[in-house]
Amino acid sequence: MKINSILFFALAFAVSVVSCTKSSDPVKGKYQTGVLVANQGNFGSGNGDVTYFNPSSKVSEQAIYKNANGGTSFSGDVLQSISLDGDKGYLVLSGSNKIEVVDNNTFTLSKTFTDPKLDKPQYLEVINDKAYISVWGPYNSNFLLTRSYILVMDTKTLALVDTITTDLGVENLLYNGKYLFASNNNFGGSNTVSVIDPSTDKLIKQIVLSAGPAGMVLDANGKLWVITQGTFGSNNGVLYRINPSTFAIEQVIDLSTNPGNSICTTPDKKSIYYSVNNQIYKIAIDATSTPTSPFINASDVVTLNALAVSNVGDIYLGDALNYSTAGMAYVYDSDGNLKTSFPTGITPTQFVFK
Amino acid sequence: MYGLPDEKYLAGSSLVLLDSTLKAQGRSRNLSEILALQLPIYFRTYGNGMLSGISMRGTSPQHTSVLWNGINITSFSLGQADFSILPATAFDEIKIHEGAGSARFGSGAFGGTVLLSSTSPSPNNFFSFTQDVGSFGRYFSSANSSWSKNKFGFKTKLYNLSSENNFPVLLTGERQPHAAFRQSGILQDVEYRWSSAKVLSLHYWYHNADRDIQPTIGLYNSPDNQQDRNQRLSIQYQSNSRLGLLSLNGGYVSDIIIYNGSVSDVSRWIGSAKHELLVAKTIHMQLGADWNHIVGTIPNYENGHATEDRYNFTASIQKNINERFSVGLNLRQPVVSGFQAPFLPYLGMEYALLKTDSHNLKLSGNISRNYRVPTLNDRYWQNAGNKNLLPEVSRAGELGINYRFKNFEIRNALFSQRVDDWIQWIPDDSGNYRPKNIQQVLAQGMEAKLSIREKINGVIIIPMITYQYTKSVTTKAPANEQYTVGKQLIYTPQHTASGYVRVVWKKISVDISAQYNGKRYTDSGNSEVFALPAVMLLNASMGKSWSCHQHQFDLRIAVKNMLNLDYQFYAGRAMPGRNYNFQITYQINPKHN
Repeated sequence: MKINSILFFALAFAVSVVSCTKSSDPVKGKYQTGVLVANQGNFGSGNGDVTYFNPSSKVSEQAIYKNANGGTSFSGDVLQSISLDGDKGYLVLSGSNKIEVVDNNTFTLSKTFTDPKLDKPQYLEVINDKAYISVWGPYNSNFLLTRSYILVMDTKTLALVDTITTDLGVENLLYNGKYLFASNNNFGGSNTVSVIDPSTDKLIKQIVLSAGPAGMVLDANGKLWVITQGTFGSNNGVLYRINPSTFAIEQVIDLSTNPGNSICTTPDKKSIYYSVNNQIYKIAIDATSTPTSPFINASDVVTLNALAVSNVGDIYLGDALNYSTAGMAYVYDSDGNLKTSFPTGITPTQFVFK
Repeated sequence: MYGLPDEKYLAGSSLVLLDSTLKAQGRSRNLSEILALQLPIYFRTYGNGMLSGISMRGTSPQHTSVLWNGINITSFSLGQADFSILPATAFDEIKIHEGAGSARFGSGAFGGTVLLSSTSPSPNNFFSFTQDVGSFGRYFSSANSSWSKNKFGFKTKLYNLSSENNFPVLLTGERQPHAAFRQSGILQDVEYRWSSAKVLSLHYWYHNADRDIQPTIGLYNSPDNQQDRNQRLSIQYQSNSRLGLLSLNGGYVSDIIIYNGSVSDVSRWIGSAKHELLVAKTIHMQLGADWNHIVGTIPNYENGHATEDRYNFTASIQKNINERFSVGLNLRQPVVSGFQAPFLPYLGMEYALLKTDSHNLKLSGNISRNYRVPTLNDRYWQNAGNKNLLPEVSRAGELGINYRFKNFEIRNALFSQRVDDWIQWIPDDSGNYRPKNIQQVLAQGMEAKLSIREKINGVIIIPMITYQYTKSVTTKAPANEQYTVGKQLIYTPQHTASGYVRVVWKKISVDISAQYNGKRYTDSGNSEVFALPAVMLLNASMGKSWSCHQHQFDLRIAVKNMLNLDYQFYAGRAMPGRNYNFQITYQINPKHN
């Protein structure tokens, strides 16, 4: 009863905030609320851009960066990720080696950041006015990575202030309020998560897992979960639960497959979703083994390339088709029923909810 | 007897000689920059002076064959020719066979064949020098000479092209970074005539290119660099006797690509014999056999290299049934390891409905079967290549009508070609990309050509216009790519047109040329969002020549992309806006003996 009334008040408050925003606050831009999809584009063609989807009207719009900035150029080559910080949006372009800073409500460009050290950037996380950018770094002549790192950039001046060397193929970033965790994937060639203390910008720990650490989430207890994809064709992906203060591995769940790179939680953070091909599995945070059957069998999806859960618990799947065709997104409700779908750009790779 | 040209054996199809004026004016350019001014051809060009793949009659760049003095010079590892490293100045004669012709030209001749050849050294000695200066730090120099003495003839060509290529990108207003290139080369022809009936000739060509790969628009720190080193040698012996015309041919080709320091090297040795004879006084017959020894040394291949031998047996027959009706038949049986190669016939005919002094109305048609051998990459790539991959096979047909009235000529053609077992690299069950014979494509279309040559009060006016409608769609696709079925192939405009008007008055000439490319889809699902919009480019040039005794000077100033339009031939790769070129040519023709 008590819990219910708290919930009721919370809901009522939330509704009043929403209605408040709608009635009195000036609209900041047409993309103020909704879903953003980062689309990589066709590698080498410079046509990575953002799809906008409005979940209430179910209307989508393609290439909103291009539309908002003169209608001539897409955001660039291989839009790997989008990060939001207040009204700012950072578009990380790993093919163009640049970061476009936009107003995330209008998508108009304010600044472009590029630097010789910004070589194949992947993700960006803003902590106290500093942007931490995971960077693959240069290839050798056999297209193997030689040096990966995290660049630290002052978000006010867009000046680089530090470089933190990680293991090869650093990708996903997660900040838990104390440490920044960075997974080192390198197509299964690396097996660590780097821990960085943002107060000193020093690498304080390399947590050794198994091949190919990728997506990371925090659960309801504040514990860090990491999925490793394993090595190609070896069916050796693993889910790890890690204590974010002691960095001890508390739980190891063998997946016996090569899973997709994303994991996400239900809104209550008590369950975790991960994908295997076009099947979505749901696993409780207190589970000790993998579920026997998938939660969703997304038979429409040809090439699952993005998985995310919205604030209300809807599950978004991005279909990259053959990686060189405008893709699709599918939206399932929290019971695993298909709600709707909408077209995306080429190779949808990340969903961002506003 | 004399050998018949390809045109006769390929009765029923069209061979187009590149206009000599276009070629002379474009001598500092590569073939992708000038062929599309005369023919409805699309080039997928990855930036200014960068990799350029040809697309003819709705096919992809792997489906047009390029022969140099009879030797196939497409890259055997990639399966396509890079037209940006085929400089117009290197070839005496450039001919294009439009449409399918594997029976005559071998593997890969689906959309067409580009025939590049060296002609015999001129009996009149000459020397010429061209210097060309253009926008964005572009310099071109070439020297040509031809010299004959007794039974020997020599011809030498040298050329050098360099460009800073830092043109302003119209979309960003910034200069294009990292796109500089340099190309240089030498060609040497030697001919020895024992008699009018016996000739030994040698053609050698070395081309060296070094370019910074032009990155996508907005990419500033790109490290990619490519060097190409191509050597080609062709030695021919021809002997004409009562028994017929015997040709023996030996060739060597070395294609080296150095991409960011990584070297791939494909060498080939070619031997062929051909005999042409007249049977029953009216039937021309050509019998031939050839052998290709291929060695690919590429780090990504299993054990780092691949070796194979291929053979071809050919027969061609041509007969004029009567004054109006002629027939050409070409047959080819290739032998390639890994699969049973298909038998390739071509049957074509031409019939003159009207044949008077001023009017000429001709109907033509041909049908053929064609094939393309999978590339060395398709066959030998480590952990992916498949030596038993089938060749792509096409069935093609064409109908044409040609009408000529004095200096007015119009040609119409309908063409249709179905390509089966089209190779695609698709992921297998474990996500590994492998080549598979999986797609079927139907390319159909219509083309029209109109040319006139008028002389009014001493002014010669030559307008030419060509147009092609192409519907080239996927008709079969793998199960997980069904959304491509019925869709137009990428970078294949439905509408292509080009044309020029040339006005010549005494020693002054003015040209205006236009090149139109309709909308091109860049993704196989035909998304409008990512399509490149239609564009019509306009160019103009003006020139004058002076002669004084045996000296001749030509001056020409040209402006390209007059309207300063932003356009792309490949998505994301900038092309320059309005730019200028100034060319001076000096030629000396020593007095005739």
